Amino acid sequence: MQRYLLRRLLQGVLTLFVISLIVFLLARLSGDPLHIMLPEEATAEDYATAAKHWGLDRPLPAQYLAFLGNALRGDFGQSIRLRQPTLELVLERLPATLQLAGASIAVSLLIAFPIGVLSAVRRGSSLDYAGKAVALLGQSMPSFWLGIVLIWVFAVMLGWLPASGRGGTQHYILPAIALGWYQVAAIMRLVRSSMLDVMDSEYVKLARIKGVAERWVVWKHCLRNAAIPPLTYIGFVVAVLLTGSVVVETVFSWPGIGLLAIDAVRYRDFPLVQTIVLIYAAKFVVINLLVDVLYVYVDPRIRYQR
Amino acid sequence: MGMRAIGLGLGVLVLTASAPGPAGAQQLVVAGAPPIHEVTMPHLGAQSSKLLTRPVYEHLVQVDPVTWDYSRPMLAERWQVSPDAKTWTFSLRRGVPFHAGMGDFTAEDVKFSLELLAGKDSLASTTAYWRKTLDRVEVVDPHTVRLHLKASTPDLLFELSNGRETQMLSRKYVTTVGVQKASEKPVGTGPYELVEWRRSEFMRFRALDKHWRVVPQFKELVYKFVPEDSTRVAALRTGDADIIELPRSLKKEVQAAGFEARRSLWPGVVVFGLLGGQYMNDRPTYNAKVPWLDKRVREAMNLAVNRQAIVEHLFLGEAQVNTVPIIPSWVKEFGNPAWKPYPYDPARAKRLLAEAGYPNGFTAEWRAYLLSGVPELVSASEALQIDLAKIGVKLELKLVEYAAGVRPDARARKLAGIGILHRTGIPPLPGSQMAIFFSKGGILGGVELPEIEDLFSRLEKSADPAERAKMVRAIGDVLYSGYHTLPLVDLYPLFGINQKKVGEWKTTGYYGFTHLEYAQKR
Repeated sequence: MQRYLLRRLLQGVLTLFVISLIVFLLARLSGDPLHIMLPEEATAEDYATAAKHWGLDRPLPAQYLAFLGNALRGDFGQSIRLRQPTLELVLERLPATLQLAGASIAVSLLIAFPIGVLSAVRRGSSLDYAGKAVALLGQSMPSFWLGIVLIWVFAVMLGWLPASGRGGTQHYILPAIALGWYQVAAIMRLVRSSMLDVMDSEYVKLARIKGVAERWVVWKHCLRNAAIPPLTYIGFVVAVLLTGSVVVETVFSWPGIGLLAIDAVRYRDFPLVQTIVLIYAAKFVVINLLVDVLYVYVDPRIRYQR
Repeated sequence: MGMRAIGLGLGVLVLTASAPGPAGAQQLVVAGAPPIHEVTMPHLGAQSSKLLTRPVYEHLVQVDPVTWDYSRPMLAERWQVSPDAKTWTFSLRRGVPFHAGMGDFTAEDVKFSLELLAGKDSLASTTAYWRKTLDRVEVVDPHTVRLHLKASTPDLLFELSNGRETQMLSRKYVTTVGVQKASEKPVGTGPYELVEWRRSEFMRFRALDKHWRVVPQFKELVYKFVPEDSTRVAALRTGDADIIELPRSLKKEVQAAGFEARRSLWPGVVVFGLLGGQYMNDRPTYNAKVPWLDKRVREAMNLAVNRQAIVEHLFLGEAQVNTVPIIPSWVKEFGNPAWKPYPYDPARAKRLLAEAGYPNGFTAEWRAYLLSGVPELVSASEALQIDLAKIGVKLELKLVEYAAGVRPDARARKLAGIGILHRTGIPPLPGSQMAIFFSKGGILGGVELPEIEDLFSRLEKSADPAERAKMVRAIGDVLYSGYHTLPLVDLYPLFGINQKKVGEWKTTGYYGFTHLEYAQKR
């Protein structure tokens, strides 16, 4: 188990190294960032001064090595647009993204798991069909469209909730639904199909023969065993959500990492883009690792196989 | 148990925090897109960042939003200029206090502010100008400051005005707390002081009870940064904002909901085609085969464009056809009544092309790019493509990023054979801006004409406003009569306003919200 984790950890470090190289090169392939940083009136002398200031006058390999060395010390450089250390900016935005991610995951899980389980238990019933409709709707509606519709209905027409911004609990509701609804559909379908498999297994039949209450059979024995496929997916979803949602954060003016990322790309703030992508990658690596560990917890057989 | 724990854990993440709610009667909330550089220190910012500190900082002189006179006193009460326009002496207003008890504004603050802007750590968009221009700042006495310049600078007042980035900082404050802290909590002499700033979310300002220039009617001013257009409209409709930056496409919707759509007093963006390649023939990149080196071709291309249709259908009437790009024709000193929009006459255009030796037209590359705040820019290029195709000029449209796809080639004078669509802010003083595009030494030159080079060099030296205006008009005459550009439109920034709460408010619309301290309550 330890050797396995160590191997995965090393793979993760290698992944981060490769990603850092790719993102570094891509940021420079898209053109000279000085054209964005400097005003149109800037002279050749201004270009030279700025290039020196930002270290852009050095050869690319030297720039990359400097970037890597500094990154290992936690210094990812300064944002061109906001004139602040990039890591500081990402960390500043992290709470907003975490809070929205938490709220949207809560929305997804609280809706998807019960509907998924009930759809499986009452297969073919009207509840099952309603569940399928929810899934279809969720996966068909783009989140930006859903976000705008939610704003118009609940903020403009009904006046129940704020249209945008980050503040009290009421500010979380609409963006959390817009962000979480898509996941509801996917998680619900996974829970349903996984539950159907498990409910047909021998140990479930044995539990019923032994007279275990049906509620107990479904919610404890079946759901725990049926949780692995959704768990894998949820791990992926959590990783995605923790990187911030570009679309939902933009629609709701939610000051998270997604909005920071889209602004960084829009204004060619390449030190910030590099930092965000590396942090995205690190999150995926860590969450994949955590999901592997969770597998072992949920299904003890995996421990012995590895 | 597991699910409950997860739910509880996630719920704990949803913390509460305070944010500006619906606007109260004493509060003015404005919502717009965040500026490119979200920075408050002038020497680290750009034109667009000035938006953030307009309520807080003041300048030596100010621009009148109505007349666009950029020489109205602000922190300087009066000034004297030497005949060669190289030495400027300013008498400063007395008894103007900085916020946070940082003492009164003095000549030392002027010296500090300008030297910071021209200093080695400066990254502002006007740094190049100040390094090139400023020789030294002499503090004559606490209320008199003299600027010694390296060259004749008749445009200086505009550069020192609130149309530019010469905000006056408190030397005492910045040197005491350092640039970082001063950037987080800017302290100026303006009618509002900053009380809260959440980066990319909002800024909250409180009005001073006493101020030498204006005591704002709204006791609190909140800037909300809302990048999405429809979300800003929703904020206006729900009362979360009182004034919003309004895209033209949503104007009717806002009006239908009972709100006012108000234009800025002046256009803020000019859109025109730059017929690149009109270089001096000693340039290595000069290409004699560029079709529009022939005046008849340029005229034909101009006559083929249905500008009125572009104004009405693409810009929904919120624009005016321009005649000579960059010259603000609505400023009477600069405008020439003889400059009428080129007529739409495709038949004559075809004849001219045939006369010029292009009976079947020609093919040219055309670069278009997306521009924040002007989503119609690419559609305008497509409209030109359609219009010009009718006379046989086939434009190969290339969608590029401006910074990577236009600017480097323009700087390197490699636009031969390429038509591009360009834009810029329209300053009240057109000379230096025009030189960027239409002079040999201009940074983004696409057009170089021997007959106006001399005018530009004389313009740089003259300190006489009447003579300068005359030279600007003369440059305009050459550009207009020679069809050297493809003028299209001047665009007006548009604002959605809750007119039940906000009364009179005049803005130039120059880089976002201006003159909010003068906004009247209804």
